[in-house]
Amino acid sequence: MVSSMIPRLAASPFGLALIGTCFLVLSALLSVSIGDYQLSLLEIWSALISPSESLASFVIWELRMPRLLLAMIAGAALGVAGAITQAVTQNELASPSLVGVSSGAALAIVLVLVFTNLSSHYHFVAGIVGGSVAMSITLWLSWKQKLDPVNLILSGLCISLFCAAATTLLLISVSTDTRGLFYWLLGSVANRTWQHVSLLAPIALLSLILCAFLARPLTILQLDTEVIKSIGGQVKRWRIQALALTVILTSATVSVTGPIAFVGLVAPHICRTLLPKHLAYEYRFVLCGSALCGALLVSISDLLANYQEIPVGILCVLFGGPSLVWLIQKQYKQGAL
Amino acid sequence: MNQVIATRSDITAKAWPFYGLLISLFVLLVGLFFAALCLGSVPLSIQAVWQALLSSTPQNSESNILWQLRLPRSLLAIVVGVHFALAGLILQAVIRNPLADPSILGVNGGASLAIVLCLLVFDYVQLQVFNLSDSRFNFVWLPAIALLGGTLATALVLKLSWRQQLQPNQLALNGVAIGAVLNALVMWAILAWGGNRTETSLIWLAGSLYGRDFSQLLLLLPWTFIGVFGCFLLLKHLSILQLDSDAAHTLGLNVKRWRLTSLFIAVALAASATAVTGPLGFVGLIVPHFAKVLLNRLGLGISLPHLMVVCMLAGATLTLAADIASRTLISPLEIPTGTLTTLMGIPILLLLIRRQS
Repeated sequence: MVSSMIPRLAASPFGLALIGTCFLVLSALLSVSIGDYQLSLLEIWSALISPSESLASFVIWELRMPRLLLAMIAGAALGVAGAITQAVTQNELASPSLVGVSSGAALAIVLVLVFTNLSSHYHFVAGIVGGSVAMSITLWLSWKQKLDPVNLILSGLCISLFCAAATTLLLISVSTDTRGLFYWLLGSVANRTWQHVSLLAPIALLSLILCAFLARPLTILQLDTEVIKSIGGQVKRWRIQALALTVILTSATVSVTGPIAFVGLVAPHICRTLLPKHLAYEYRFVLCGSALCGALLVSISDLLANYQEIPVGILCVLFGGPSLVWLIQKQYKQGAL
Repeated sequence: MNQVIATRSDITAKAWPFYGLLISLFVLLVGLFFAALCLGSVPLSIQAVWQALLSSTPQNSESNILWQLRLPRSLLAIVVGVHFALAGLILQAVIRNPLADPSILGVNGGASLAIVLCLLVFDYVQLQVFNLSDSRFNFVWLPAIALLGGTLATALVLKLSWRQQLQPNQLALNGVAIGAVLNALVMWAILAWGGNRTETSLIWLAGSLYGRDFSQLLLLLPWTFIGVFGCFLLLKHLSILQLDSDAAHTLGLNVKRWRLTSLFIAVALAASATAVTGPLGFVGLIVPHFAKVLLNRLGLGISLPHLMVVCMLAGATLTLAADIASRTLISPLEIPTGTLTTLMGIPILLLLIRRQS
């Protein structure tokens, strides 16, 4: 019976969501139980329902839970940000890190960190400013080429490289110890506390809810601009709203976890491949699916990264880079570029 | 790409402005060289430099600074500049793609990964098998290992863009994606197994000339001779390879063989330089572009021999200037030279991408 259930489940978006959630719970259980201090399912259960002073409960609630939650929220935020970027630019290769938002935000945050001693709430604001500036420059550069897909990504990559080099320059020119910042720049959720979660979670959840209102406009934005205008769509307003949400989601994530690249690129693609063909551009489903895929990607990557104590950002590049190459090949083969 | 190869009569008619350009570049280079010897966290007067240069036996701190620190470093900057500039020029001519550059085609990333892996494996084997805690790695092998890594990475990038006839933008995109993956692998290796090499590896990865001495210069020089000599031997073939492959065939050239040979020499130049100084990004992109603009402005036709000579001089000048800037801007600290060249190179890359569309 089960064998006949799974294909039927996978054919409908709700079934897919169910399967995705199951995987998410599974990866959550794994990342809570695996580590230097192994925990059994029973121990996890008792620590979850009745937090006590025991070591197991401390490990779960103070060490592993914030990390897990951050990984999931960051993944969901980045996945949705990627889906929105792809919808607005009508470019399947776009993602927040490839149009320069992440590294722009990172540069601005490092600037604030180095030259001022403001609290971490302001880092997020600085990230928004930096991210918007970097994205505007990228869009402006490829505007004349009508946002030609390859041109947009190349310009974005250039801006990213530039920001990264400028960040290195900044980090080296201050004489204080910057090793912690260096790890942050690789994108990591290690050693985070509830304080970090409380920084990211409200902003991310609020923006994700706002994104839900954009689902219909985003679906319409897939049409030709002239067509949208003729049916009374407000192309410009929708685009600006959507991009603003992308910048907020990305900058909030970057300010807490550092730039985690390629999740925004890969998550929407996985989601679109899994969704039934006629729903692959229905943004109600794409947004939810991207959030789920993003959360899964980052939490599983973090599970693997945790094994060797390397930052999760590195693993994301390792699977994201080849997928970018693969997507480029596919798009060229289809003649889409 | 539509460079007109100047005929011989053109060249002789415009010989004098060209030699003027060469002489002025050379004077600039020599001037910068002396500036590099004088400037630094301990400024030296030109007389002191001159005296220390003439007496090779170290007697005082000034001549020590000069012979131990500044002279090898500045000479190395010049040599490395020539390496990267020539590599960029050859790549652009052979692939017929103005966006080609060792750092974009993955040479630097591949070379870095090969070197880091090799050092880590060597350390591990030495510790486990021979029980030696201090590393006795023979650095002579580094350029060859870098060459291996660089060749593999470049081959991968070229293979990925082969079907689209190495279309410039796609090639750059593939190269940057592969570069990101290689970089992540390098970071992984360093962070997971780096041990006490972590710090030095990170500095080396940013591309720096800090603390280089004559031994590293001597390590690189054979490769320089092979590379530069190879370039001049290849000149005739390269100017034909700039044409499209059908035309090159008609002129009776074995396109495939000479393409591969030239690519190999370019990769060898870039990888060996990477082995010594770490990746100096975008020098190979900036210098040929700059040289072409310079030759065009002076009304000289762009012929490959001219371009090559100008590139060598301009590459040396650029890296030397970047090195001076990197150790004087925030002295006594240092900015990695590679970061500076990257910051300079990206605007030019953007300009070139713009021109593509």
